Amino acid sequence: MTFLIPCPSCGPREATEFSFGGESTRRPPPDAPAADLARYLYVRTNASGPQTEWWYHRDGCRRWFLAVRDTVTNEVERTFWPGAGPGTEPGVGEAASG
Amino acid sequence: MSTGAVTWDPVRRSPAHRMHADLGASFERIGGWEIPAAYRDRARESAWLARGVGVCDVTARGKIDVQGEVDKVLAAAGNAIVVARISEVWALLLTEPGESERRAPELETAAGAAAMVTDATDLYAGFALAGPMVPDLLARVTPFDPDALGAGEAVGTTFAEIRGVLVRRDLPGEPVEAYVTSDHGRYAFETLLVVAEGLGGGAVGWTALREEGWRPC
Amino acid sequence: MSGPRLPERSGEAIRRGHAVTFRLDRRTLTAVEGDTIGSAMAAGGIRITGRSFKYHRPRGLLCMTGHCPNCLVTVDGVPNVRACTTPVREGMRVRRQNAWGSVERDLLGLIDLFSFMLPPGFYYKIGHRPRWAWPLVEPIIRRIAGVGRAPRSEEHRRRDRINLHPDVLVVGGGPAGLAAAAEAARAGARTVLLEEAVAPGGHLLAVQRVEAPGERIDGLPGTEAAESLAHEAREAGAEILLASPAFGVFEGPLVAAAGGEALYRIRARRLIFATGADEQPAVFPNNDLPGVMLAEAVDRLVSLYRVRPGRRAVVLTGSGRGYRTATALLDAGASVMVADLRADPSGREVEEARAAGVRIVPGTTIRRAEGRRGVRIAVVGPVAGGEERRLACDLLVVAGARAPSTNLLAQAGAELSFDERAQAFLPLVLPPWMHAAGEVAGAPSLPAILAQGRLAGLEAAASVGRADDVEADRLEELRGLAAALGDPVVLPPEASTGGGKQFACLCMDVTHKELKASVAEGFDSMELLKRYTTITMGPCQGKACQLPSQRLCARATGGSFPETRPTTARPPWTPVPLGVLASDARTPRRETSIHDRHADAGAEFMWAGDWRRPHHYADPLEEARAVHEGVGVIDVSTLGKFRVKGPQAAELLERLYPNRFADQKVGRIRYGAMLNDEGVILDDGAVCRLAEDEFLVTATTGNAGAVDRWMSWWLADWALDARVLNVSAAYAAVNLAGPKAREVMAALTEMDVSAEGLPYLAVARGDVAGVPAIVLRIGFVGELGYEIHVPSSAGEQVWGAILEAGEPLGIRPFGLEAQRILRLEKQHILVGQDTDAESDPYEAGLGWMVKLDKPDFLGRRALLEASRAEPRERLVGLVLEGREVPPEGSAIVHEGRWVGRVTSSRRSAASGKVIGMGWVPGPLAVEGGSVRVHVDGGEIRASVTMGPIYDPDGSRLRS
Repeated sequence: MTFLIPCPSCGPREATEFSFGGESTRRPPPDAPAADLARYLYVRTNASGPQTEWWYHRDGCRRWFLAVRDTVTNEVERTFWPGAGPGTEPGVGEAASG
Repeated sequence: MSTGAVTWDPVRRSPAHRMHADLGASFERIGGWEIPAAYRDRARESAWLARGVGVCDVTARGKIDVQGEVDKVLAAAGNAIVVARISEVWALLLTEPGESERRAPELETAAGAAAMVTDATDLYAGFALAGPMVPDLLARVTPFDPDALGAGEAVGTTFAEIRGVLVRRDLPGEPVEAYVTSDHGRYAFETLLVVAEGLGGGAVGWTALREEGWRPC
Repeated sequence: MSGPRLPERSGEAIRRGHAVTFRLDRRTLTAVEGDTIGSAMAAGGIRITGRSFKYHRPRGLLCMTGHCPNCLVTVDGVPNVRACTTPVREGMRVRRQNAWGSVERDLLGLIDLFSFMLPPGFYYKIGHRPRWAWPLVEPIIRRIAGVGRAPRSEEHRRRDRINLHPDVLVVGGGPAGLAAAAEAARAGARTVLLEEAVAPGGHLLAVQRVEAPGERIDGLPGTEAAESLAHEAREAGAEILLASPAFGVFEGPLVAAAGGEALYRIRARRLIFATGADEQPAVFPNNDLPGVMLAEAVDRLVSLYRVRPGRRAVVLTGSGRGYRTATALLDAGASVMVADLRADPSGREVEEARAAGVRIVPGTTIRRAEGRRGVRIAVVGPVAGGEERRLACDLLVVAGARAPSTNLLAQAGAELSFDERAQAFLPLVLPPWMHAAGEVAGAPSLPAILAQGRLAGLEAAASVGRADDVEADRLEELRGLAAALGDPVVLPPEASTGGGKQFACLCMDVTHKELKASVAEGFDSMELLKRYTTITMGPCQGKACQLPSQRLCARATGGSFPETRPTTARPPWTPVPLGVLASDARTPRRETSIHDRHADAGAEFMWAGDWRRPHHYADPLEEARAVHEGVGVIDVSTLGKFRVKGPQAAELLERLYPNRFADQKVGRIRYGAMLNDEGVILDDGAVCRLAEDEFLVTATTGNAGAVDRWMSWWLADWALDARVLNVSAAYAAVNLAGPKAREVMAALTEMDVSAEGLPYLAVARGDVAGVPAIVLRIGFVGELGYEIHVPSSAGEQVWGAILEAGEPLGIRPFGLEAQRILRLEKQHILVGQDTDAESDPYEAGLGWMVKLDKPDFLGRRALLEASRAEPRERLVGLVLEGREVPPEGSAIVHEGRWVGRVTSSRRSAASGKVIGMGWVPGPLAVEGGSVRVHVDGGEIRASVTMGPIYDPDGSRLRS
């Protein structure tokens, strides 16, 4: 844990300044089948290579963001705010049923 | 049921108050706070500030936490306030001791729903670090590169193995102020003193620090 | 070999006439300033510097660079100090290590004769059968094997941990490193250089006259040249850290270095490795005898310390390198013979030596050495085989086989490739932020070393945006010099055919024969051999054995040298004192603003996470009774406290908790449990509505940080128009509880604290003891209670005011233990103590707060499933017979079978009975049900309760 993570707000910092939030997952809607809930709760891709993850800049700006980290080399390819990045991150308001 | 017979004269104190007393501090009242004005040996304090490093407990200064549309609040803040801008959406506004109690509600009204304004004076303990050995002290308590912190800038980073906010003041000698949550206040002051003593320095009072050109705002 | 120093000469490192006296074991040695312990021993005629790790064989100075294990000594109680590089100090006490009796006549030297009993892996093989023998055998093995003893004193020297952030970090302060640092700094890069020795210069130091045409140092003695290069680097602005070896490169990259009084953590944008090369021993019988030395060691003794290490020397070499040493020895008055591995030695150095009178025997190698406490005979013979010759000598010099010191580079991710010409593995493929210069990169001569250093410095600086204006001509010239090729390297045979111990690894006493035996046992690759025999894993980490061990492993496994890849030593690459690694270890500690008052009152403190909290002041049962009968006060400042504000603050809480908040009135409190999406309880606390758009939320002490992260995480994900601030430290909080609490409150505030004015679960603002406060009518204990939150800077005084106001009523402060008794009587759960990672609110008896009709909240989907069936397990109250308090975690038994466990247990202050909480199967969770609790030596009958044991109707709490 000596690698650097570029916080979208504060720039590159020691990984020890952050808390890890696990790989990003999609929270199923409130009426989803139980199988979707189980997948969301218990099934992880555990990629060997780039993986989109939640990180919290605990000792810095105190914000959560998403990072694409190579799980083999610990190199962080890019970081972005939720809702601002491409692809796999949970979308804003997805958890709400309205 | 209320008696109303007893009156209180509460005074605000830093979490490190008793350490100051043990170090022989003489206290002054300012803005409802008791601050360590000077310790036993004033000449030594000046020498540390000139050649080593001095650590001064500035917890008494007012602190206002702003989250959200910081710029909107800053526009209403005017002068007589130091802005420690940690991120786009988070800033600490630093005031003279006792001033935050008046300023925070004003700013809260001005902010409306755009930002949350909180009087954070009691949330943080603060320590001013001054003298030529400040970079050496910082190298021993934070993994953050102090050279990356320009005058007037602020960062949130690991400080003494806990969370801290560092502010480099735009004042003569560019002193650095460090803020940690007040429950860690005494631990942080102890840690800073141990490191400062190893570098030729120690606790200095507000009087000596002011003579070097430091001021709260 | 003892005798006066050699005549004074320019370039020497000693200051004659400045005597330094110190103790070595039982005698007193007199050295001079500039000496190391090792050079002082050599000057004093002491050949044996210690005894070996396993066989207790005598060992002497070998490398003089701090890279081999032979001269580890104990200095003033500090073990494993390298004598050869540690400067002498007046009055120091030096002890040689690992001997019973004296080092000269170590009684355990007999072990050498019984070495057949200590095969590789002996630790796993002997003394284990019969089993009772091992406890007797193990301490003996530990006593016999090993190096220095850890000091027993508890004295702790504080060392700093220093973070540095240069643009360019240069590892190694030899000529390449110094040149690189000078160029990088001159170009404007913030540059730091790490050097392990106390003086910069590396192998340059022992050079008698520097040959570097075109450089300012050309013609100078080595020490002056080194000083000149260091001066150049410092003038340019580089910071040179001496006696500070880099010992590890970690991902990031982060370089760790051990200064004498500091641990350095260095984050540089560019790394330049100028780590040089280590001269390697040759393998032949008795190659570990005192008097067998590497050429570098001889050069240093002669040039720096002006000591002649022997009178009759035999030099083994395969290049011009050995001739330089031979000439130096001849100069020093020794008679010298060179055994050259090459059939036809030629070159300038050979001719000069020959002209000076050095005898040269071509095509020859060392077959073995003979002697007991030092070398006396060198047996030489033709490389190809043939008749041997016995030569009397007291010094056997091994010269010219050098292994590039690539280990830190490999840790950093460099790829090594075998270079046929250099007969060595070189770092040819490097990550973009890394440079290699000098001998480690294969530079064969000083001009090439310097040119590579300068180029690396310029390139590193340019890549961080600090370009110096360098003329194209000069760059061209440097590139030409840097690319120079050396003569092909000729290595001695891997091992000799003769008998006797041939050591591959001096640290761990591993011989050629043992390697062969290990291969026969099936450990047939370099990596396996390393792990099984511990070869290259001793204090030297392969510095003094990399080449022999690699080549012998290749030979033993039937592979070739180029095919046998070197292993990568993990950090620490150099021995590092544990005190440096611990450095300035800090234990962050939280204290409430009332802490000193507790200490004054004689509180017994305990750690609660990183908090210091009063466990009790006096008898906890009495403290609890005072709360029941009168009034008590406890410091609960450690509670997590959150300000939640914004137009969607209520919506945020609606989603975070299973409770309903939309209809919560301003000035009211609701108890809420926070769940995760599995429906498992994470934390609980009070949610106070202070305004339409503002809440104060409390969390338990231990979970405040986690709740902070949890709330901000979902806020970020949902992007609601609300904000959360952790204000835990901003407020001191006390819980004033007991039937007389209202009377105390009335004396402290103008607020209406009557049962009507501030009813149960109401919250109000007002001044308490002259300080602005938020007062919560809430109770964790089963009595009328007020939780008073005030600014932490006034906490201590408010505490004092409360005690003063309560004194006439007999108020008592109570600690965590009394609080735990009181809450257990009331059956209030402690999340994490009574619940675990599977507990949902239905099981924990909190089903009343779950509003499944809300559209969504964290855990709703899972609770929907759980709500369809009766809970399989329930958290219930227990009232036990007798007086024994079962330990928490005790089994609950029903009809002879394990059915659950006790989570909390105490003696009740109110009833005197033993009470508890625990998990039982659903069918047993009925009021008055009977179970048994298993304890040591039997079972205790317990009856199940489904509600509070004390104040069951809540009338006292609500009064």
